[in-house]
Parts: sequence; C-alpha cells; structure tokens
Amino acid sequence: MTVIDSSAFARLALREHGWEEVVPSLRARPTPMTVEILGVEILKVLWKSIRRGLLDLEIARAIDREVALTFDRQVIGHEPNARYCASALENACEHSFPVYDALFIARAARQSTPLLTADPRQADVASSLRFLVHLLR
Amino acid sequence: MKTWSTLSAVVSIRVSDELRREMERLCDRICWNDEIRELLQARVEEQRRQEAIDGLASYVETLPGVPAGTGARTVREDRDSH
Repeated sequence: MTVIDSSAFARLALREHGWEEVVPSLRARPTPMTVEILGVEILKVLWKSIRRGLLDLEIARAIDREVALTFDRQVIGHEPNARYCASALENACEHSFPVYDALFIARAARQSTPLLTADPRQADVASSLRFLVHLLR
Repeated sequence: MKTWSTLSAVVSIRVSDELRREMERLCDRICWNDEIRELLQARVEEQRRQEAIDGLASYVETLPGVPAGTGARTVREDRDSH
C-alpha cells in the first residue's frame, strides 16, 4: 500500500509531465490511502491554476468532478484528518515542518507505508524521519 | 465496501470430484457459501476499481496539461504560508 500526497495526485489530476508514473500506485493492492485534506489541497491547486491562467474554469470543474469520483469509486481510500491530527501536531512541532505535511506523514507512519510525493521538501522531511518515500521527479 | 443486501441469485460452478470431497470434509470448519460470496464480491469490487482507474487515466489524457511542477509548487507555497 502507498500513501498518496496531494503533490503526487495533483501531478496526475492536472496532467503534468510524468503523470503516468502515478497510475501504477493507484492500481496496486492494497488500495492506496490518503487523508481528507488532499481534496481541499487539490481544490486550491485548481483555483490557483485558474487565477494564473493555466486552466479554464470549465476544465477545473471537470477535474474536480473526476477527483470526487476517484474517492467515490474507492480508487484511493481517504481517512478523516482528525484521526492523525494529534500525531501530526506533535511531529510538526518537534521537527518544524507544516502540519499539512505532517498529516500525510502520520498516515504513512501508521502502517509503515511508503509515501508517494512529488514534493522534494516533503520527501526530505519524511526521509529524515526514516520513512520510505517514493519521490516523483 | 459495497454490500449486496439481498441474496436471491444462485451461482453454480464445476469443481473436480477430489476438490468437492475435500470441501465436504472441511465444511464444519469453513462456510463455503460465505467464502465464495466474499471472494466474488472482492473480485468484482477490485475490477470496478481498476475500471475507474482506466476511466481516470483516459480522462487525464484528454486534458491540455499544465507546466511541470505546478501542483507540487502550489501545494508547497500554501503549506509554507501558514
């Protein structure tokens, strides 16, 4: 199983270069997991991409619908943020990194699951805590 | 996991005589109906999931795309801004 960070899922959802590399992690069994905040972070990426002229509103709406279907069809399992808040807060304070990163890392920590990310900074943080990280380059 | 609320359909499968004998021998330890039902349900759900991934990948292929690193950069700037 893999825990999928928002940066990795955004690469797929926005069709960035290398998006195909995310697909095998979706196909793998057991079902990949994430935390609920991924949905909000993807929404923010869509919103900012519209504001920066990278996406049309219509396309962003369609991507948002696809993301919702991804959750509805259990392509990715998602768990409540609240389940990982205590652990995330502790790690974020102790190691001085954002609680957003810490939520995904806390989910990965629960079952010693590899974290899939496209964000080098998050990968560094997770690696420094001795978690297995798959960084999309 | 989706649950099927009614059990009205019957599915028959052929197995070897040897397997049938072994199943009968073990039937006080294994509920074959439950085992087979769960296996079928899991296989159908996994196949649906794979079809959903196919659909998602086909959809993504139709998108115009954004510059490399857009998603990770945007996620990072938000996370670091708080």
